[in-house]
Amino acid sequence: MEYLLTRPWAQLLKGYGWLMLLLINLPILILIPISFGAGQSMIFPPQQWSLEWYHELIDDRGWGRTASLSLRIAVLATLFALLIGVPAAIGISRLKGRLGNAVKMFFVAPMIVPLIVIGVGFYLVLAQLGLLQKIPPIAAVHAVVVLPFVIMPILARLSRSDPALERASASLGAAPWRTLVTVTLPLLLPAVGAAALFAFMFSFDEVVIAQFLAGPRFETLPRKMEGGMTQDGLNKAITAIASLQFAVVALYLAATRLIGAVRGRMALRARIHARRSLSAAAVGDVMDVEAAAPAPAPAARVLPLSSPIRTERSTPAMETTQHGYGIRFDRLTKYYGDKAAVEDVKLHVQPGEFVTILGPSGSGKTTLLMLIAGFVAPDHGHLMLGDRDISHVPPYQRDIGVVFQSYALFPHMNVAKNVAYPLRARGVSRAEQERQVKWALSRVQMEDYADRLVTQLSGGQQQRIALARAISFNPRALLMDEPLAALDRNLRASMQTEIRSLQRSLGQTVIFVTHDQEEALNMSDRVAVMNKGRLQQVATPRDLYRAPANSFVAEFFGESNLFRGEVDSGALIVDGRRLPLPAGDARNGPAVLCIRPEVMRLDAADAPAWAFDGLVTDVRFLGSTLRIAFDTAFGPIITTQTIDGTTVAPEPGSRHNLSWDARMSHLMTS
Amino acid sequence: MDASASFDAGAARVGKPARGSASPWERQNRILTTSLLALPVVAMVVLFIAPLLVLLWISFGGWSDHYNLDGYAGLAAPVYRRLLLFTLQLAFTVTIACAILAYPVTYLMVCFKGRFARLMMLGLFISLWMSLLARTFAWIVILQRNGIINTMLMATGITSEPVPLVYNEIGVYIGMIHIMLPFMIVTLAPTMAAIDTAYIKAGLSLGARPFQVFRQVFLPLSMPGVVAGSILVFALSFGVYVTPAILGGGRAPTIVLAVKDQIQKIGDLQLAAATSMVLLVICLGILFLYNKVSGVDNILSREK
Repeated sequence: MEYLLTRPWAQLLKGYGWLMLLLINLPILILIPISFGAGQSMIFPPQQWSLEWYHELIDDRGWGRTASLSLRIAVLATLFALLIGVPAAIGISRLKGRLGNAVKMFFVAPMIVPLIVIGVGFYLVLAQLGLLQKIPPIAAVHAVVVLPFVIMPILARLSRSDPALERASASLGAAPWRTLVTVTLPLLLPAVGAAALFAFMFSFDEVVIAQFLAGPRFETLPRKMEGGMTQDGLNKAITAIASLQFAVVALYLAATRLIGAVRGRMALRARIHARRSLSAAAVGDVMDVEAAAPAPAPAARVLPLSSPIRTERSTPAMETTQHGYGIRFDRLTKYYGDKAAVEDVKLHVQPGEFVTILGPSGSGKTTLLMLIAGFVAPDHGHLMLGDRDISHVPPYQRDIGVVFQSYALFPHMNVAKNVAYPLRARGVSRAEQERQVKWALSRVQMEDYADRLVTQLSGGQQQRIALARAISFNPRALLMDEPLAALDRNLRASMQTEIRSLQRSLGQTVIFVTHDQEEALNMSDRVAVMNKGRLQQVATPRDLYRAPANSFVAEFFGESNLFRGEVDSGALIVDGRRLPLPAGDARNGPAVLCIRPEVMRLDAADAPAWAFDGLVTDVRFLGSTLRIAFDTAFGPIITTQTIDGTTVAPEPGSRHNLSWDARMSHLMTS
Repeated sequence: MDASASFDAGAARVGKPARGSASPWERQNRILTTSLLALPVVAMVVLFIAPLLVLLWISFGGWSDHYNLDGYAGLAAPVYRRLLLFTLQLAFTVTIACAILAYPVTYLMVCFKGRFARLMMLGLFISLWMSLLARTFAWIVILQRNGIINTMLMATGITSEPVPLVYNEIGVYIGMIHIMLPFMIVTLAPTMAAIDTAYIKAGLSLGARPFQVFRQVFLPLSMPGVVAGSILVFALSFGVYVTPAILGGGRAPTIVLAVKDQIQKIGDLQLAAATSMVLLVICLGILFLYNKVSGVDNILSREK
């Protein structure tokens, strides 16, 4: 946006900016030197320095008395405001739509209503009840009035935090209340601190409501200050009070900054510690990126590269294998409104099996994932984990480890605390926690990173920690929601291999959700293809490719040439032309013939009678293959040809004869 | 398929349409949300709604023998109309001034991230946290007869007499603008920060001159923030008591100051309640307007 200003204008604007900064803060800053001046005169700079006005604050008992009263009111008001405001803000953030907005409006209203209106209202009520000139009522009114300023910054903070964090906490075994205390609240602390300071300062400074609810015998500091600001005379002690207030604010700011600096330094130390270990450096910074590269590894990296995932026992006491449970989806159905997001899904995942759920966005795979994790309940059908029906078990009692797309690592905990989280939620003893954390981290080669903050880790490292966290509590199954989507291509390939070999060595059951067919091919025992909420086909990658169940699967999983027509007496009739069928009997009626591009033959010597001509429209070089597009009487046709030394690429515009071996074709009903 | 008893019992349920059934997770979360909001809502009703309802009741003569409209009739006096008009004019002027002053500052903060933005944020925090009374007092010190400004004016020979800058409307305007400016900036900043730089680059790459891009792209996109900040500042200026009371020195009375006199000097509670109700209705109107324009989210979402 700085592009919008030419240099002289930018300079002018900057000058204006500094002037405004000065003007905004000058009135406060000017009071500080004046407060150290001797005598009644309030001029800047003071002619004679003195502390007499600070002594005055101590000597005149009135200031101390009123300040202590205001302090008590302000502390109580801050307490009230936080007690009401923090749960209100969290509650509001959990509401959605119209209701959420209405509730928010309700809590924000006190900001807009003039203080005097609230003051008068309370004056009339409290006077009747005989509650004037008492601390708790004033504090309560202050709390309500300052509530919007407590709620707003907390809400803003909440809207910026990853909603997956709470889900992650639940999937790791924490009930909602526990999640609130261990995840939501700690993340809010900075915002709560700022809100508390604002509430305190507001109450300590509030004079309008105090006009009505306090009195001459029950004098608060602001009331006394206001009395010292009449035209008849200014009380210079006020400058000293203002300076003290400024000191409090400055101290608060310094303290928050100091805490930040100390944290940063501690984190830095942890990082240096981790750097010392050679293998750690290799894992963190080199191996992630280069493990997939086929080039011979430099000598220094040979050791860690040779064994991406360790299979030997790290700690004798821990089992290296876990016992994945089978998962059975029994006619699982979930509606959103009238639309079925997941419909009649039947699938039996074997113990220790790696099943990928593959589908385009909007196919219902996310809903299916939420059903398995337990955040959504099915409208019909059952979900069985082992022989237990978990359809209506809350997520934190399911014992399924979930790896989220955003990783959802808790930013306020270090690596070890993150991995220990599910163990703490289950009340595992400290020693056992330590052992299992160490074991889990060693399984993903991150044991040297235990003390790091998660914010200091790269994407691939965070991915490993998320994985370690999901396996640390010996879950009954693992659920992964596009965990590799955020990684770059090379790292993704190496993580695919690692996850697969980790799953094999653990014997875990894994359900892996993705929209990337290459990922599905690389990793899965079986692939379940979803579209429009329904399972289209569940098969091994090989069967899925060779014998797709319908044209959606054929087109979604790999490229294919589809011929739609009618089966009639042993042939497929397409636009009056007859195409041969693969062996086996086919019922008459509409059908689709699927020919994979590599099955197509170009200018075959023994071309059958039904072979047809195609005009080359595009030739692409894809490394080991040529991809050639044709225009034919059947529409566009794609072929791929393996490139060997003798391959000659056809010229675009040339005509070629196309055919295939009928045994290599595949007939589908739709 | 293992036909265990529990499974069969469940299978019977399969046939029944049970659309939109909540999971235990959703149910527990609803309970959690409700219990989080229960105490705050009760507190708001008792501490905020109840006194206002009492006020409403009193404004219609609830404490006298019979209900009447005397309170509202009393408000028809010309003096109150004048006070109300002055208050609205004050709030309006302060709002416009704050919007004009704040826009370039916020633009700087958002566009040139660096030392200025950090210092400005710090300054705003301190300003918002510091005592309103102290800041008002500082203006008296600066603006009074032998204050800094008058000393400078006389030292440079621009005037020979001290100019009356405080205890009149000038003082009120200066003080109010100073106090409201931070609110305008913190409301405007998130909206401006949310504008994607790519829009600006796109505009420039399409051949528009920088000023055109600013006027046709940046300004319209930042307008919601300006409107949100303006409504907030207007409402706060309309209801503020301290600054006009102290810096006005009785020469710039607002309707808010009148309420205090109605109670403490005249002792007419019904009139005070009626006046309060008028103020309340105006302010709630502003709140609804605010919500229509920008949603209450945008108020004071300080960090971005």
